[in-house]
Amino acid sequence: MKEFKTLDSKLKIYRTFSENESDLPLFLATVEAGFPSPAEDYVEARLDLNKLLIKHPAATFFVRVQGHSMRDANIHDGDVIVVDRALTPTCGKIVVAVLNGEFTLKRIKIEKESLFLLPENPDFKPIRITSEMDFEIWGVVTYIVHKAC
Amino acid sequence: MYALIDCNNFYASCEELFNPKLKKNPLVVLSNNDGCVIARSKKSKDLKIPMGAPLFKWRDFFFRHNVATLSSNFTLYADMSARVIATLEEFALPLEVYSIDESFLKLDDPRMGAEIRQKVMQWTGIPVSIGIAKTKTLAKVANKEAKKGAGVVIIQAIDDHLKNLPVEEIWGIGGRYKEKLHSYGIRTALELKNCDDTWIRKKLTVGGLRTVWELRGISSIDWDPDPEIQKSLVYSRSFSNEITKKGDLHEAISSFAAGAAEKLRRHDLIAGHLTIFMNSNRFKEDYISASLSYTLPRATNDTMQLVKEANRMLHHLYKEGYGYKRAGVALCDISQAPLRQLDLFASYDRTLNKRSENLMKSLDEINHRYGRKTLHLAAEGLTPRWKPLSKNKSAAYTTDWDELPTIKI
Repeated sequence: MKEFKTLDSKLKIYRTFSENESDLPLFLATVEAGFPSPAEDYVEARLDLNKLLIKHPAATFFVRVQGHSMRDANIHDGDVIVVDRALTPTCGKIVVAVLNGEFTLKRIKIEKESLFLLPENPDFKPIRITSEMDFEIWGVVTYIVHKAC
Repeated sequence: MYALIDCNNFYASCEELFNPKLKKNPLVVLSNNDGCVIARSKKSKDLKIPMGAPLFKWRDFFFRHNVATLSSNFTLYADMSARVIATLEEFALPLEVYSIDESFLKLDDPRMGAEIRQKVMQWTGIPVSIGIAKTKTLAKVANKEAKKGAGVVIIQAIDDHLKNLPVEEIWGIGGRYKEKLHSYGIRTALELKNCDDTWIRKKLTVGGLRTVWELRGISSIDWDPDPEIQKSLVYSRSFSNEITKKGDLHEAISSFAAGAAEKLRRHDLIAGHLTIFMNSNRFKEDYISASLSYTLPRATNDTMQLVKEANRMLHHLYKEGYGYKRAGVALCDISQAPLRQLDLFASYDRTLNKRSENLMKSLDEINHRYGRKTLHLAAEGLTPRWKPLSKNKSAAYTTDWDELPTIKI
């Protein structure tokens, strides 16, 4: 794109279309002296992070977390977690749940017909879920996106 | 068999999914400009708050009954609707999307209803009601019953479901035929079903006859997975404050024309006819309403052309001394862009057209990547005074990285 400078140099203006319009057909691969690229037959699509992280797009949500109760599970303050509602919440999985109208994030443990919400930080206590409590599981955490730098 | 899947209190359900605290009290969602109620949660329906209740009239009631009010968040609702539809598509059954929160599925085994309901709830968090029957119209009847609590209703013995159903509640009959049918002593769906065909055809037209056949279990309405392109496109808003200055109206009309143009391009359509309209406050004495139409020399979806023509008409239409409360643009004579017909008399500059197409493409790509209205015409205004109020809008939880739901852990 061609760039134009303005008087105060604060505003950059770019032209959006090419100067030489032509109606010639565009070849998708460059042809060097008539020999096709040896890699042509092996070209594959670029890697898409979505394919790695999202198995059920309709049921997948991103949530940002604040706090430290899951530090030892490598979920840190400010991380984005990938939550999949399509997965079955089984013992040992980390889940997003709703307890008395509030969101929470804990590892679940099912022991002797009781459900426990376990933090991953010694400064926090486990919670035992009883049938009188207003509780439901919102989704299962599949990946944690943590900023390294 | 047909299954009609309908989301329960859709907008309210979307809001409650990301803010479960809302479930504790009644909730209503308000229209653009926070004008009136367009959605109610179950608790609000129990309080008998009517659809369309204007906020200014009901404010006290809401306060006394702890009714939470939220501005509509269509970005969120559109995304959640897409998720519900995608979940239904997982069943690999013929699917027809009817509206933002209703779809029909064709299925062989009515017992699938429970499975479909459970899957939509688990995957998307949106509760749905499902009505299953031999025809679409009967599926609608079943769905209405399902909404009352059962969740899934299958119609087998048709008459049982029709004998207590008022005629005006039949899909395709409605309020407009209510008085007429009542005058003939027909008050229930069962009574209508048993009427003579020739009589129905005469009194309710062929469309009414189709509806009655559907009530009898004979599928008569087309299956339409790829509906016809829309015949008209209207883009209008009411203003938070009355607008008196021409310049402000100019900004609003430009914005609406640009929005309509973008909508056309999104569906690869072009429009040949443009109308602009505006009116002052309906509740004031000196109410005026005006509109002007123009057939475009060449059907288009180009923002600049549409904005230019819209403003040319505004120049003729605008009257000083009035406080305008609402304005809009309407497009019709809509056709598909690739099938454009050329006009013998219009001059057609091929290079100019290609340039404007490229410009529109760049405009759309940038707005798609960085957010709607990132790039817009100067004519649309920088800080428009007419922008609708949305005092209590929830975040774009599923479409904006900066507005993700945040939980404290």
